[in-house]
Amino acid sequence: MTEATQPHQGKTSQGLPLVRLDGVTKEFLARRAGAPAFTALRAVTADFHHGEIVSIVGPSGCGKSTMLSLIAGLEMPTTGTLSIDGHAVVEPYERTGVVFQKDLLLSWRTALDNVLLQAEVRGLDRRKFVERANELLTLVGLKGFERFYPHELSGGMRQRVSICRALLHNPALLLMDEPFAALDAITRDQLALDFQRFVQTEPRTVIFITHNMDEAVFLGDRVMVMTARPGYIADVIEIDLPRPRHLNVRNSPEFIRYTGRVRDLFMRHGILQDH
Amino acid sequence: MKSVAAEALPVTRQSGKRHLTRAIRALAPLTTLAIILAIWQWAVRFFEVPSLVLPAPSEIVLNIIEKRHLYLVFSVPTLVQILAGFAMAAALGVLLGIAVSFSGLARRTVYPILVSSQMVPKVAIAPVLVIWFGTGLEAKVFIAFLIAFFPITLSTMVGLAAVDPDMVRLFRAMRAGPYRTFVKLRLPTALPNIFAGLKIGMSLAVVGAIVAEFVAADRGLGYYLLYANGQLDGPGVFAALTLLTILGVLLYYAVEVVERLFIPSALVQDTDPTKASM
Repeated sequence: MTEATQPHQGKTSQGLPLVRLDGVTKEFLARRAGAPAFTALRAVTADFHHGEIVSIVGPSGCGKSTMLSLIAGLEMPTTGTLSIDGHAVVEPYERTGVVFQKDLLLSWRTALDNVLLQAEVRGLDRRKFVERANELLTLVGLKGFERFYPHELSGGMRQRVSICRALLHNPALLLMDEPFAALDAITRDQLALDFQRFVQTEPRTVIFITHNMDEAVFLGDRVMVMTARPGYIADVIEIDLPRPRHLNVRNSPEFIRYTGRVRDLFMRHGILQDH
Repeated sequence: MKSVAAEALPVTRQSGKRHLTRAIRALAPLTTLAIILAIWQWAVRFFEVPSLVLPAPSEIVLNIIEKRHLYLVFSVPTLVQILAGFAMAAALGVLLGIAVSFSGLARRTVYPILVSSQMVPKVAIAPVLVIWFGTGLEAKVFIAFLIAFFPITLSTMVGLAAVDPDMVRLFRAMRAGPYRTFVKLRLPTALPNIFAGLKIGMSLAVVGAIVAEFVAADRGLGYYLLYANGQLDGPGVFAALTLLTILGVLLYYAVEVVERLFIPSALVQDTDPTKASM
């Protein structure tokens, strides 16, 4: 029940991971001459399999967002190889959808038009996607809000629209960079619940970046724990909790044991200090 | 299907109350204008100001009605110069702004030339332009164009540069090429700035056309203003001034009307300065 329980229905071969990082290091040039280069990621090796949800949890500055940018094809590794579907990533992979921390909706477009932006930008026929866009908006509970502009929607609703936009072209891989971090705690729980239900209706590989340990355990089939400076994966924890997970799973001893393990890792690496 | 009741529902559009406030908002400037005119009218009579120095509003209005045919005929060349100069400035300014924003090399080479060209006092080179282009329409259109061109170019450049880098990242993640990024992101983002530049450009085109008529013309409202001044015709001067002002205001709002066509009305409030203090 831990890995690849729902393989993605695609032409891709089974067994091989969808995303593979092999010794990936990312360095950024120093801002000032003479200063040392900044290593955001050091020798990260990780596999992401078809149909699994992997949470990556770590403190700010641990390179988790850098890792996502690399997988999204927005930046290139300094050394090491990164491949999706067996091909080295040299540009954004076609079947990827990305959700950022900011909803990044265009203020002059309605909710529906913002979702359809994905098709327009990719040069796909917009008309063929209208039906799917409406379905997605209904699925996230935004039926009746299709014609609303972003400024008429709440923060949670806007982020729901941006999730629909990321899924419009039915990507095999969904990348989420702290998507709920800008929301209040209650909206955040609701979105996590809805999102879980949502992924089950359309199974796909999800890489979910967060700095929230509860959220990481709640959503993930696996949790990768990252530590900072330089960023690397300290441990990977398999989360063996039945789905669909309900909010009260957070009170269960298993859940608490998992979050405890994440916390222990942070303490052992000096990221959390209990005086 | 589930509801989003846990989240704040958006404000529904109220009707009655909003209509009333809109009416008040529209009437406020008109009322202010009426009060200023009333005080002006009274003060001219009370202090017995000679009409060469400052005619009463009623005198100006009478002068306009009396010579309406002349003013109508003289408005045409002035309007043509303004519109032609503005159209050239708008087309070339926006295009140059776009071209410059696309290329780093163009930005580095064109921008300093553009800025230093602005340091040349354009009003002062008007006589030179008359020597080059003659006293016909061309010289006047060119002066209006020269004055209006720079703010349009600059605001286009500023608007195109004002794009959120995170938005650019999103577009890259969606595999957008430079063309689609421009059409779907940069240009719409820049529109409020471009229109701000066009409004400034329009009011400057009016200035340019009048200055051009001051230098060399035998018709037009600017020419008539100078002529009436030479004739010590106070009401005539102020009539021409009033008509030029009305012309300028109408042209300014014409740009704003076009702006509303391009920018959804729901979003105009973001750039409307009159609502900033509310």
